[in-house]
Amino acid sequence: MIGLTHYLVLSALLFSLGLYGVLTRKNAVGVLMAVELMFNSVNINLMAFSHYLQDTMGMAFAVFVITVAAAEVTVGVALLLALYRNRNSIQVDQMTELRG
Amino acid sequence: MNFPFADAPAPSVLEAITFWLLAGMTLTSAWFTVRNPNLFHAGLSLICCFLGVAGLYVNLGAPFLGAMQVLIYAGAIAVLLLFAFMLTHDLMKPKDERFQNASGAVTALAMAAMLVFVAVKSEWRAAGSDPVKFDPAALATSYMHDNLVPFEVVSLLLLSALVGALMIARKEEAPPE
Repeated sequence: MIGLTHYLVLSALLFSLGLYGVLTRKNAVGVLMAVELMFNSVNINLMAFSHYLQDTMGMAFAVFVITVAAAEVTVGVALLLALYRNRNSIQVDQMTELRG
Repeated sequence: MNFPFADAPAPSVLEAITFWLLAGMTLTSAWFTVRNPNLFHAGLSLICCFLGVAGLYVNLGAPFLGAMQVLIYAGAIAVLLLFAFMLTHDLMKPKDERFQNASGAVTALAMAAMLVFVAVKSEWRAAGSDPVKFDPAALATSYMHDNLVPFEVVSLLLLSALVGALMIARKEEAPPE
């Protein structure tokens, strides 16, 4: 029998994998992909609570998260393109202009 | 608008089998998304992961959200990321993606341990009495009654993201003489 805890553990593992990707990737596109993994884990959480507590609010907020993720990835990709045009590289460890 | 098997609850054994299959698919493809040295292959694994999550939504009784997951995440966001990779990728350079492994694994493992501990140890409240149907009509009612203000704010956010992305990504033109 699958309960709420199964979904929560799955989403926790997915979130940690996303965090691992954000911390270890050096290409900024890879960082964005890992951020999308974290968004998805949060959405699984929202849907699982919505299903097991019988409340549509979680589903409504899952749709909000999807929308905001779409906006985020659009702006993120635009920033990466502008960065690549100026610096010819999107490796996050090479962006050290603000280092004191 | 009626989706197939939106009303009938799945038998618990079938639900369990589907859950384990989809969870394995999601976590495996997420691992390859994070660790694959070829970033294009990582993007393809990301699409696989999104499809697994969409299957989980269907398993949770929300096929509409699963359809939107396939359309928006697997259809739009993943393709946009793949395009971003191809536009910013220098074909002449060697393909090896470098990682910084040192502290990332420790942080992620600590986060996983903490989250799993909290999820397993907590006492979660039992379900409400009357079952709710997660159909598009319920979603529309929620947006038009309870969440009207966030709904409008999100539409404004989408518009500003659209205009902002255009402004950021366009080429700088020479000022007119």
